Amino acid sequence: MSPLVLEAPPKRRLDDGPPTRRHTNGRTPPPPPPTGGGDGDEGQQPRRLDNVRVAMLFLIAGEVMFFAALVSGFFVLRLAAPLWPPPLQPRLPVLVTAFNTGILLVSSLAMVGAARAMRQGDGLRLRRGLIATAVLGALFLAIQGYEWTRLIHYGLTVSSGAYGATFYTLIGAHAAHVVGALVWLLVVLAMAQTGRFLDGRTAVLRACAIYWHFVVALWPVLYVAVYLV
Amino acid sequence: MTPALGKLLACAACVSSAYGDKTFNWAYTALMVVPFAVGAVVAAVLAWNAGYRLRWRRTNPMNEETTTT
Repeated sequence: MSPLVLEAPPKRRLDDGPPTRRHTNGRTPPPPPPTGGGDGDEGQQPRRLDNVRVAMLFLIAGEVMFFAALVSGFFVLRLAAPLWPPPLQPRLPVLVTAFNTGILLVSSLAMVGAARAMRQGDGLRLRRGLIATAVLGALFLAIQGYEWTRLIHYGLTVSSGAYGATFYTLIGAHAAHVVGALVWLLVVLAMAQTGRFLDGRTAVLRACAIYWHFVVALWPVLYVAVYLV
Repeated sequence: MTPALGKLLACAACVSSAYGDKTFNWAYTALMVVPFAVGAVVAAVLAWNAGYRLRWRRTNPMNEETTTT
């Protein structure tokens, strides 16, 4: 038998040196404040789960719940319907949206390149990566908007039934998140133009990159659920 | 535990019955499971960062001691 056990972290010994945890009221004095604004890893060992990642973890957990509720609502209506898509409703543009999915995935790669350039201290490549990410994100939104105008022209509106309502709610919620991420990205780009992020203060960029990757990773799930299944 | 099991069986019987809840489908179950799944993922990430690890512990039959792999 080989049971699966949960191992606790090793206990600290007295001769391990001073604890790294900050005790503001204890006997151990707190460590000196970090330099450079306090949002970088300068002067200390990089932590696996720093404040930026914890904040984004909880933000993304809330976002996952939001979209899980929307997707579940979509499937509740869809599985209860005798025919899906309902008759006399336009079909969704699967191929164009597949191309659009590729654009969004490539934007995530551009963001990875920008983050790598930031770690290497290459400001020019950082700005180019951010610009490429923003352009691809804007292109994704433009194609989505073009698709929507065509679908509305063909008669698929929010008020045309459960099919249109769930489609525009789900895809529109994601598009709103892409718009929000794009605005955030433009702010990051403006900060990068002033030379920020190369001095160790990288929290804004790292949080933006995590959010962008989340928005990109969410889209294939919605694409499969709404367009393909 | 027994009352909870009874309620569970009653719920399953109602859902699967021909005269039960005809509007039920598995999307409801997914929606009910997601909060627990998200909470479990968050807890797992925080526990991993705190140093907790799940390991298979192999039992040595010769000396009854346990060793980790």
